[in-house]
Amino acid sequence: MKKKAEGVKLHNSGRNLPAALKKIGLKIRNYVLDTEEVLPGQKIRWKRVFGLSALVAFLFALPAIVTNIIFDWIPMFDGIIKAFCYVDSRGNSYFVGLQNFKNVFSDPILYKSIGNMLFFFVFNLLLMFPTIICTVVMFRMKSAKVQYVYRVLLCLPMVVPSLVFTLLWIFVFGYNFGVLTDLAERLFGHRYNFLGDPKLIKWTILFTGIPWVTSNNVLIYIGGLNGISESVWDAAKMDGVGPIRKFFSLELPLIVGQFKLVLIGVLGASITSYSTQLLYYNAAVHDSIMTPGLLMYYKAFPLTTVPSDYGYSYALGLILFVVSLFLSLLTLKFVKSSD
Amino acid sequence: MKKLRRILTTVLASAFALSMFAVGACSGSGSKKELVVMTWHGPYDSTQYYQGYKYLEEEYEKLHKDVDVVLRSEPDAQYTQILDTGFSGGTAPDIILMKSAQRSTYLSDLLDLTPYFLEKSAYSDSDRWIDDFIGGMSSFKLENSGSEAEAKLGYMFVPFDSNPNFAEEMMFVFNKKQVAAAGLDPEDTPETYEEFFVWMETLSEDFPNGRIAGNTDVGTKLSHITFEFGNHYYDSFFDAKYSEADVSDALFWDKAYIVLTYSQNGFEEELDAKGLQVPVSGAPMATDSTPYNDAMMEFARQYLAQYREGWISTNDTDAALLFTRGDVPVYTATANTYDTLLSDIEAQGGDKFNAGEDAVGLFPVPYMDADTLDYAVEKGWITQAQADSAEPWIAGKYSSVTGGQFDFGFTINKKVAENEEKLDLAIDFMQFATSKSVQEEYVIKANSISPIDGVRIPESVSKFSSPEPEDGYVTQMIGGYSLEWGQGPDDNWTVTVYNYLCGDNKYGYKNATELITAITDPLWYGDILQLSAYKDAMDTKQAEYDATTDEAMKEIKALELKIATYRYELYKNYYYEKTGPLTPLA
Repeated sequence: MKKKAEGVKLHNSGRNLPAALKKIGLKIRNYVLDTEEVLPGQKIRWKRVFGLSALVAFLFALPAIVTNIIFDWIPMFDGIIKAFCYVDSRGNSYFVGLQNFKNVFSDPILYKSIGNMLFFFVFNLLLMFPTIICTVVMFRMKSAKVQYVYRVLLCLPMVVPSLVFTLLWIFVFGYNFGVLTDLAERLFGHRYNFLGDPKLIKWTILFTGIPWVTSNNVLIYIGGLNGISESVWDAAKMDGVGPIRKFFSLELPLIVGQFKLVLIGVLGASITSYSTQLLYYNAAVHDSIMTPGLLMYYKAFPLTTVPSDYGYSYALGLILFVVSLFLSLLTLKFVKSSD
Repeated sequence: MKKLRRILTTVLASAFALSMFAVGACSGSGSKKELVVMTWHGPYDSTQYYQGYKYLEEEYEKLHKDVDVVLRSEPDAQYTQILDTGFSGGTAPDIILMKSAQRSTYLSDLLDLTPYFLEKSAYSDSDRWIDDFIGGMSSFKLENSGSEAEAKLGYMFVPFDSNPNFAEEMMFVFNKKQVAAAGLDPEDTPETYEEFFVWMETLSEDFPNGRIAGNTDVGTKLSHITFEFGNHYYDSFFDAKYSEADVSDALFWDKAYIVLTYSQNGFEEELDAKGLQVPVSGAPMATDSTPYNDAMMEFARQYLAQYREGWISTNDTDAALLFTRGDVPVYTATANTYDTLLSDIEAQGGDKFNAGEDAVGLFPVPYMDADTLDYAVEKGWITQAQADSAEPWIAGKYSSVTGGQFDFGFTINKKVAENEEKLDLAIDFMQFATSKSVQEEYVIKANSISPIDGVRIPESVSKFSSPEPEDGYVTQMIGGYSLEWGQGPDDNWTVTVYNYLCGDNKYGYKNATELITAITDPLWYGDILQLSAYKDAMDTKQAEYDATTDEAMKEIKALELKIATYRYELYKNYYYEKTGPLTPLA
């Protein structure tokens, strides 16, 4: 639904910007937020900006700002610049224009890795639903106490780092002593090499997420459901809405805002993912496990004695960033929440 | 008034924060003289080197109460990055443990230790410090870096824990009970690969799924075979004078660089962009005619087949467990992992092992000889023609990892020389650490070997070495470099080779030469200097030689000049100005 507030002046904070820039900025904002609303003017009170209170507040914020600049912004801008440079082993950079991008796009391994990335991408999207279903089931529990217990139980694993979980699964799937490998042998009479078979490795990685319920996301969804007025559920009850219809017509549409937030995270993580693949990597599964993120990592920190190709990694990193940003913007634009 | 109080509060808060910063920044300084020593060994490593360095630190501080030796451990994986940033930003430590390749890269940042080696040590009776070391001057490399413009030659490092005639190696450990049960004599262990394969064949009856427990590391396994081939093969591309005894070792890597990067495919643009000289013309890689490739790769295939099924995805812990539980009769170990292995066998092995010291036996990685080639022909692994072609280039006896010279050790940051007091301290610490009395205790603490003449090798280490042949070890085995310096279509040569050897020849290579040609890549061309730099180095050496009057130094300078001249000639005639393919001479 488009909103329009007529006769309201343009945002005053943008008054000093060139008109064209101001117009573009406003257009992007309105496009992303799907609105034509113009914010009411706000006069900047310069005395407050440079006042004593502001200075004290600034001093408190200073460590965060400095660390942000040093550890986030400088590396990010440095990465963007170096995507256009050849970087030697001593860190010296030579401008090479688009050569790194040419190298990336002419590399056959990139296209293999995109195929693998799409596999994980599609399944990561599908595997968002067990979390939603789990949340809805939990939300529908009548007893607040039981609901609380389940919520706590669900959050308990959050104290274990995900790396430990992955290593645990690698142990479970191990060829020699893995419990699931032994079980599979008893059931099917064949010892499967879950970690070393290129045909199985992607499924093995997917399986390690079982039951595919993410505690953080459950909390996000449940927060959304809790925010909905009781009158909605009462009305549904009076109308005799069944559990399935209630899910598709009410619960799901009403948490689309939260879904969008989680979706953006999943998109970014799927496109740039490499850490799980890195843990499962071995020479036998190279082709099946290589993602653009892992390719970026190995170009910068090769497994063998070949020299690092930092320029390639910077360029690929920038490409992944742009793709991820583009998809996130599309999500913001096209995945719409219900009021 | 209220406003004033707020201003004062803010000023005081800022002053407090600043003073905290200042205290933090200065906390490291004090009245003591500080010496920072950086190594890649840490307190929780499987090795005991850190404990050895700790001993050196404590003993030196006991002797010099005004000195604070700071031991800094950095992970091996991040070492290069730390050195890069340290030298670029002027924050590199004073004394740094470095490998040969690292020294080449950072040569211009390191202090030439030659004058100090030629002086008397404060902790020895010898006339020159260098004479305290096993083999004296001849055991030290004159650094032959190909990466810095000045191409300086000198003694650049002090070994603390290596021996030019002894290398601690990976050994095969075997279960004596299982080997005896298979009908083999546990006291008569394999020396050649023929004997090794006979052992494996015999054991295969009891262990059809694999005889050796191995982890996911492909490169190390292949190196056991590939470095049994290519004995002085690079020499065949160059005039015989470049292989003379006094220059052969010094020019070895130059020859390797030329052979392994002799192709300008793909990097002309980059050289051009940097305004650098581009070699004359493109040509095939010099490795595409290597005569031993087929035999080498077939042996590699047979060797990998001896490892227990599923090794490619088996981690270190599981591989060790397979052996200590008695599931697999053979495993590999080093001196540092051996004790843990023995205690694990005691805990997990049960009746699958003999009791006590008779539980396991050891033998070094075998060597390739003519009989092994005949055996392979007999088994149908290779053809007679492939065997004949490979025979001149096989090891024929145990090879030495050390090559008769020290390879790695501690360097001094050149910046230290800006402070005379600190320089004296750094040299004094190095001389202390390499004194005989300190080394005798050090080797035990570090479970290591000593570079100092007369210091005994601890028994726990001495068994982890191939026995030296009567006429000495074979050196300069280069068969593995064509692969290890390359990349291949999978961006990782171990992947391409693993797939090829394990039956997934997805790129359709007709033979091993095609595979190796596809992997070999002129990736390291960036380490080759401009020809003018080699010329400058030669001229500098000539001037230094002319200016030297001291007899001992004159000898060194003469050799430096010879090496610099030969190096210039090599790059001029065989790299920059050569046209057409680089092939072995008749």
